[in-house]
Amino acid sequence: MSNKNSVWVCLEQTDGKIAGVSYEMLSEARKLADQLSTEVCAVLMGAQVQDQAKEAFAYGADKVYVCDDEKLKDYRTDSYCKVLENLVKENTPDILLLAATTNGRDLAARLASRLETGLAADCVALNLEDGQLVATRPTYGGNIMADVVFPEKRPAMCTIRPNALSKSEPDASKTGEVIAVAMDADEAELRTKVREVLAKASGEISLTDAQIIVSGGRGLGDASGFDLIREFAQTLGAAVGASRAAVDAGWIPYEHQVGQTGKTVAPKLYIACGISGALQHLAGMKTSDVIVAINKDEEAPIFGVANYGIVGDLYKVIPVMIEEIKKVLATR
Amino acid sequence: MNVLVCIKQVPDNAVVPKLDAATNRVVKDGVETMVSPFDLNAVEAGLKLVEEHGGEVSVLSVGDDSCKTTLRIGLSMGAAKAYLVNDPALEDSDTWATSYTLAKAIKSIGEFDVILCGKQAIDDDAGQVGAGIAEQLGISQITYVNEIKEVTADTLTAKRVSPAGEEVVEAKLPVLLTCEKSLNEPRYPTLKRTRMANRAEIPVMDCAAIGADAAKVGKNSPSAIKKLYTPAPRQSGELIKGEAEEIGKIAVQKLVEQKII
Repeated sequence: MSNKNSVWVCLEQTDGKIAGVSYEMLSEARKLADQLSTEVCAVLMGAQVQDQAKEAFAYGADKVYVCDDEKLKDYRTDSYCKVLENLVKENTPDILLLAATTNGRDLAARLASRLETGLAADCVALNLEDGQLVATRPTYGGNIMADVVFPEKRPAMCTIRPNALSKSEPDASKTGEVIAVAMDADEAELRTKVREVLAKASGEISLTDAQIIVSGGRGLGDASGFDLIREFAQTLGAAVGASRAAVDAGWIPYEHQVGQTGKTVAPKLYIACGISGALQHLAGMKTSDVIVAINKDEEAPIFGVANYGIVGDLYKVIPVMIEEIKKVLATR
Repeated sequence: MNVLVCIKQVPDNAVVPKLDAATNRVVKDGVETMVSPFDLNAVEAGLKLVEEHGGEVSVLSVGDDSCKTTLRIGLSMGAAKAYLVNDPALEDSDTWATSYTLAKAIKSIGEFDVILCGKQAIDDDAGQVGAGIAEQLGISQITYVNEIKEVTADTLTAKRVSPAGEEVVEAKLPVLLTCEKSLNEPRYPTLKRTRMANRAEIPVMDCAAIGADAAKVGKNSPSAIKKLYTPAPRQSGELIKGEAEEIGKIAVQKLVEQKII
C-alpha cells in the first residue's frame, strides 16, 4: 500500500460531530482504494475536533489529517479551502470526495476552481473502469443520469449525496495514523465572518437527515391540513415535507418543499399525502427506498412511483394509520 | 453599486427530457425553454440592491443565440444591460470551464460590487459555477443565500442555509452570492419594459473577445460526460382500495411486515 494516488475524503462535521455522510464516503473510498492498491486519507477540519479523528479508522481510513484550530470553528470558505488546498498540493491525491451539503458543495466548487480540476456534483455512485474513476450523478431533476469521467486533471473531485452510498460495518479494532496539520491563514486573509448561527427549531427533524418523511400537498385543502401531517410525522419520528403547490399556497414555509426547486430527499420511507405527483415533485423524492402515497384520485401520477398506493380520503385514512402505528410501537 | 447576474437558459422542466442516443445529448430542438428558476431570484435580488443603493444591474449568459431570449427576460424585469458569450468552442464545457468563461467575461465587462447566481441550474443541477466564478475573480462568496441583511460601503451580510440550519455571514465586497428560491419573489416584467427589452441590442462576445483560452474550455474541460442515460423507471407497486378503516390498517400492516417501520 502506498501514499501514491491515494483516495481522500474531506470529512463533514458540524459542531465537532462527524456527519453520517462522512462514513458513507469513507466506506466507498475504502472500496476504491482496495481496487487501486492505495490508501485512504481523511481530512478533518474544525475546532475541538481532534478526538473525533479516530472514528474515521473504523470506516477504513489509513490516515487522518487533522487541522484543529479556533479559526476553523465555523465553516468558512477561505479558511477551509486554504487548509485543503495545501494538503492536496503536498500529497497529490488521485480522488477527493466531499459531502454534497451546502458547505461541502461551497468548498468543493471553490477548491476545484482553484486547482483547475474536474468536479462532479452530488454523485450517487462511484466506479472504476480501467483504473479510472467514473462518477454517476443525477441531472435534470433525476430524469437523466450522467456518468462523468476525469481525463487528465487530478485529483478527480466529487461531492457525494448523503444517504446515497452504503456505510460499511465499522471495525473498532482498526487504527491508523493521525497527522496534525497547522492552520497557516491569517484572520485578515479570511474574507468572511460568521456573525450568527441559527439552529433548526428544536425537535424538528431536517428533511435531508430524515429516515422517514411525511409530505402534504394540495389535496390537504388548506393550511390546517398540515396539523394532521405533523401529527402523523411525529408518530413516526419523521420530518415534514410538502409539495410546491402547498408551499406556493402559503400553507407551509419553503424549507419544507421537496422537489426540483426544493430539496432532494431519499429517505427509507416517503409518505406522500394528497400529492398528485407532478414531475417536479417526483424529481425530489423518487429515489426514496419505499414510497407510500395516499390520494383520492386513483389516476394520480404519484401512484406510478408508489410501492403502496392507498386510494382514499387522507383525512379518514391517516387517523387510522396513526392509531395502528401507535399500537405497533407500544408493543416494542 | 453595480451588480452582475449570471443567468442560464434551460429546457422547460414541465416536460420529461429526452435523450438523443446518437449524440449522447439531451434533445433541445423543439423543446420550450425557461430561465432557470433560481436565476430569477438572483435577478430580483440584484434589482432590489440597486433600488436601495443605486447603480445598475447587468445580466450575462453563456450559450447560443437563442439565449438572448433569456437575457431579454432579465432586461424586461429591470436589468440595464445584457451580455451574451457565444462561441462554438464552448460546447461541452464542464462547470470548471463555464466558471472560467463567465469570470473572463465579467472581467472584460467591468467592475462589479456584487455578482449573483442561482444556487444551481435546474438542468445540470451542479451548483458549482457560482463558487467557481468567485475563485476565478478572487472575491468572497456566500452560497445558498436566503436573505440579504445589510450592505455597507465594504461589506455585505447575508443569511445562508448551512448543514446545521442557517447562519448569518458577513463578507467583504466584492462578493458573489448564490440565491435560494426563498430569498425573494421574482417580479413580473412590465409591458413597457418588455417592449424595451425586445428592442435592446445585446452584445455577443466570443472567447477571443473576453480573453478566454479556447484550449481550456469545451471539449478540453477537466471533466467530461462519458454517457447520459435514463434511470430505470420505478415500478409501481400495489394499490390498496376500500374503506378507510380497513385500508389504513392494511397499509400499516404491510409496512410492519416489510420491516419498514
